[in-house]
Amino acid sequence: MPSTMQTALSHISLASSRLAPSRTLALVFVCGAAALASVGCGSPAKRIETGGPESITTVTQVDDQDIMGATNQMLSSLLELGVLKQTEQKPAVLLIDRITNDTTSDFPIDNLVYAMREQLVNSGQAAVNTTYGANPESKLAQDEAKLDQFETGERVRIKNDFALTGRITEVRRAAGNVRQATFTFRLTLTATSGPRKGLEVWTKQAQFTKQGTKASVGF
Amino acid sequence: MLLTKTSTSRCLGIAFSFAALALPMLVSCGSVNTVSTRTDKATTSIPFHTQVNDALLEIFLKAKDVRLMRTPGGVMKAQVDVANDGFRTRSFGYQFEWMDETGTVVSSQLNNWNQAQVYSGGEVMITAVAPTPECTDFRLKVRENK
Repeated sequence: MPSTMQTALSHISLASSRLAPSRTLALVFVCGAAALASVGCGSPAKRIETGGPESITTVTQVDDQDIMGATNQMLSSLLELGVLKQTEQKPAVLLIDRITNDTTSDFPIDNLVYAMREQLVNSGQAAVNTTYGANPESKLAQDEAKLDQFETGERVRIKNDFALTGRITEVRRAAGNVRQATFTFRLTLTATSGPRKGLEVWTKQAQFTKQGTKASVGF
Repeated sequence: MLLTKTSTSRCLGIAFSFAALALPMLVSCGSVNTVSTRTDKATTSIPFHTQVNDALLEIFLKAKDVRLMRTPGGVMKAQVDVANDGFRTRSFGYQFEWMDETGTVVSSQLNNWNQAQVYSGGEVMITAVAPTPECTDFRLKVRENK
């Protein structure tokens, strides 16, 4: 095989050495055009709307549109039922507790939680306590509160109304080449103050089932 | 190739037979039959305007009824019945955009695209909740999945 290849290559080089300069130029142009055409055949990079109709949909992974769909359903349920309005203090104070990803898909849970926080906090419907516990989201803010407490001698405690917990699970099935995955997002609010302290006051699950043999572009 | 009168009529007969067999099969393939106890529109029904840019979508997917109501949480909730008059199951993406009294679109995490599926001859209800109590109107964008 190597000897045949060498022979073939030598034939080409010999042939090109015998070509007239104008024909060599033409050959270079043709090769260049072919190279450009091959580059142009691929899909060029472009920006698309996150979670929009042109997003990639996979069968066995959690996609952007699944997270956004779950966010939408969770927020809609919270707002529709007015759970956050049933507290004495306004806005209601939330603690973000453990939300676990029990799927085989690797994705940031923060994408779900922060989207909800953005909507609820920025519209004034809830406030999130970021200085609670041994591992607070904002250590500096917690230190500042502790310093104030030390200087004034007054113990100021933020009254938390709800703790948010959750779990994301998946069920996978296959029939021949066709694969199917159902992702279930579950969130729960437990009251941490008031007459229903320690009780679940809201829960919602959002399910997304995807079926196919391979990933595709579009919903 | 020339066709005689007899062969032409025979061909037509075969074509009609095929059509007679195939059409009900097409219609019944995955179709949905719906029974409803209500014949009048809901009291929360509101008039709506549809702007159609995709003629095929207009032929097969139609907004049959639009209802708007205030929820216990104080925000508005929209329900839209989308009917599929076509012969196959249709999948589509939709996006609700909510507006306040002045007509300004209120940007929120609830403005994202969602997906729904409606079987042939069936209806699906798509719903959306307004992000704030100030939102009073909405517009709905529908795009069929290819």
